[in-house]
Amino acid sequence: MTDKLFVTVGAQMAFPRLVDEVDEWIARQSDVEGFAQIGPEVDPPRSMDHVRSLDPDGFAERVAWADVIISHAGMGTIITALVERVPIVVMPRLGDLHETRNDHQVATLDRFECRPGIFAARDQGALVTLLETRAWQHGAAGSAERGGSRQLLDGLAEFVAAAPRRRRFPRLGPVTRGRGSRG
Amino acid sequence: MSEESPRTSLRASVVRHRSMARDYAFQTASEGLRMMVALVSFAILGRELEVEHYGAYLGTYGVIGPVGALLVGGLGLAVMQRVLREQEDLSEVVSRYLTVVFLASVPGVVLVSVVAASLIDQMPMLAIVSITFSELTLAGIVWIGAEATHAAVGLASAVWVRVSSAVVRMLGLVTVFALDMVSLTSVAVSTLITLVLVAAFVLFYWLPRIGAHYRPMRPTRAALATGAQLGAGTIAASVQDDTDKTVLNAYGLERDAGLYGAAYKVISLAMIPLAALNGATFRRFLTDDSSVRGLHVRRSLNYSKISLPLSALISVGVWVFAPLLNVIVGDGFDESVTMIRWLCLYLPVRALASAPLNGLLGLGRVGARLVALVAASITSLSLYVILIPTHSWAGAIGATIAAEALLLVLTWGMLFHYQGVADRRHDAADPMSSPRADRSKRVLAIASSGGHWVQLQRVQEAFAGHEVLFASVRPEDAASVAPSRYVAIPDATRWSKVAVVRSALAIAWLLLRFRPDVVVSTGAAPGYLAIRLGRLLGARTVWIDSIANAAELSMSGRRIGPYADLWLTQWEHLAAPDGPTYLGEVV
Repeated sequence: MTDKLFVTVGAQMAFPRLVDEVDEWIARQSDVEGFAQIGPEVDPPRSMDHVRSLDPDGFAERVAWADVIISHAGMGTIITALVERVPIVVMPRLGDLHETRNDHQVATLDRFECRPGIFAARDQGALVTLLETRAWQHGAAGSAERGGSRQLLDGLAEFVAAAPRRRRFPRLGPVTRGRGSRG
Repeated sequence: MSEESPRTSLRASVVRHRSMARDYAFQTASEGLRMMVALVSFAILGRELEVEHYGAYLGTYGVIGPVGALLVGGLGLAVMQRVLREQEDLSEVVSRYLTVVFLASVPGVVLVSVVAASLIDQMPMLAIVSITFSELTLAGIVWIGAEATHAAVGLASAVWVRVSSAVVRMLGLVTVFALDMVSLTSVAVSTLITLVLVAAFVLFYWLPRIGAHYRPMRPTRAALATGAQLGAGTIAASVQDDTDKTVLNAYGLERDAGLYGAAYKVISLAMIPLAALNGATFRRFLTDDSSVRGLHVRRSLNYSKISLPLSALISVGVWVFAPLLNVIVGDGFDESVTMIRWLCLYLPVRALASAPLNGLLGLGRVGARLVALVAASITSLSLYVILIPTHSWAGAIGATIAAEALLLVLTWGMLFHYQGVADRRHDAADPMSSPRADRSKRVLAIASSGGHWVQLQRVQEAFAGHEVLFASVRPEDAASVAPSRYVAIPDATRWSKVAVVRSALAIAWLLLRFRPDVVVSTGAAPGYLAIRLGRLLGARTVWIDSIANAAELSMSGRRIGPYADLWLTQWEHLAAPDGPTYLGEVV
């Protein structure tokens, strides 16, 4: 059975340390199919199909397609993986290597790696180990409820309900074009 | 209506549009004719009279104007209203109002003549009395005749009456000109004779012909009240438009009065297309549909979208062609060219002020409209008296523009205020609005793209039942919150001041249009801006620091503290008594 890998590094900056490692590993496999979103200004991988960036629909498609996501520690991707229940291998960008501003991705990973479905790879060695052992095939996938935690949602809902209504000035015109503009 | 077949309703629509088009064509034609008549009179008077005498002539009209506005304009409007709206008998209404004219004439003519004589030295007494009697009594008869025609027969016939009167007057003037006898007295007598002829025609032939038979009848108090109410607005407008020439005369600046008067006459002619636009669309302002929120504001704005560019175009045209003034009135008015150019500024201000005046009528706010007109007119008169003695025509121009600017501010302010009142009243009274709708709030949910956007979507369930507008920086993110509304705004990062300013402006404009009760953001910079600005507009604010900030709050997260009514972190260990609260996390 082919393993489908979706590699994503965000649209702002390339992350060759991650992409090249996965690329080389896939080249040595016969039952792995990879697709990578690689970012700008970097050479394309040799054993995977790739794009530079993905629109939201394209991204969602690939998440649904994949058996595992391999990604930088971007919050959007991690949350999506948890919500869609797709295992995710996360490698943080490092500030020292100018892969991002500072080490906040490391801090993010520290906090999230204990969650089921999230596999932390702090360096290329760890990444290769996870790939070799196909770690994502064992263990539970991420599980997240439909929305944020109950208490957070309730707190927000209460706040909105208690907020006073501002004066309703006559609208100067529809706020958005197209359907759904009132009055 | 619903039983009509498509064909008959289409035909009815065509008929309606055709009659509307015909009315508009008549209106435009009559305005055009009015313009030509005014132009001819202006040319003759300007060429033949000395500048000082022309100034005195206009100054006299400045005194007659307000009184004439009441008698002639106000009573005329009242006739319309009483016959059409109150459904009173035509003969009775005409009789009552004509009696008012006759009775008021005696004291009116005497009073105005005395005042004019004392303020305006250069005007001979015979000329003053002739013109005053013509413009008050005789014009009153003609105007009531025209309005009665409008009420009883239709707009086209009424226009015919008005235009004929103007043309006959002009012919009198042309005759005097042809006889090379133009002087203040001869012009005044010509006006008198021509108007006697027209008034006699109207009174003894035309009115009976349309079914309005005159017999002396005491005016009722109600009739006087209506006349005064409707006339008051026109009086105010007349004071603002004409008394500057009078004041110039009163301070011995007759020459400047003549020059300035000529310049103002040119600008008045230039305003005729705007007046035509107003007249043609006037009726459309008066229908009210309280179920459409912001209706009258929107109408006034739409009207302004036409009138403002039109006025700007006219201003430019006038500015360019101003030196051609001496083609019309000969030499002697060269200094007026500069005055005309300065007065070009007046046109757009006037154009912008006219729409909300109609909008207020549509809202039924006649009193407020009157207050605005009176306030502007008192201001203008005061400014004339203050500025003209020292600054002559420059003071007159400045005062004219300033007073109109005041009117503009007042009327637009009132329009928005009363529209809001009407909307709220409608909302409260609407039997269809459920208690739920009354409590639903407007929520602006804003975030930058990526992780911040994903987290915002995770909490959108909390806003169910409210009116939510999502905002972010990528247009393609609209799909992820459909069918909720979505707006894209320019992104801002710490690194580019220009981007921050652009983003702030877009967000400010969004806030002004959407007026949220609550602003929620998961960050980053656009969210920060929206919360700071939203707070200024009185919204309640929520900051949800990104779940990515596990070790410490983000920079904006720290700085937003004092400005967020609900300041949240998604990590329990980051919560603090003087810091953010922890309620939970988005995933």
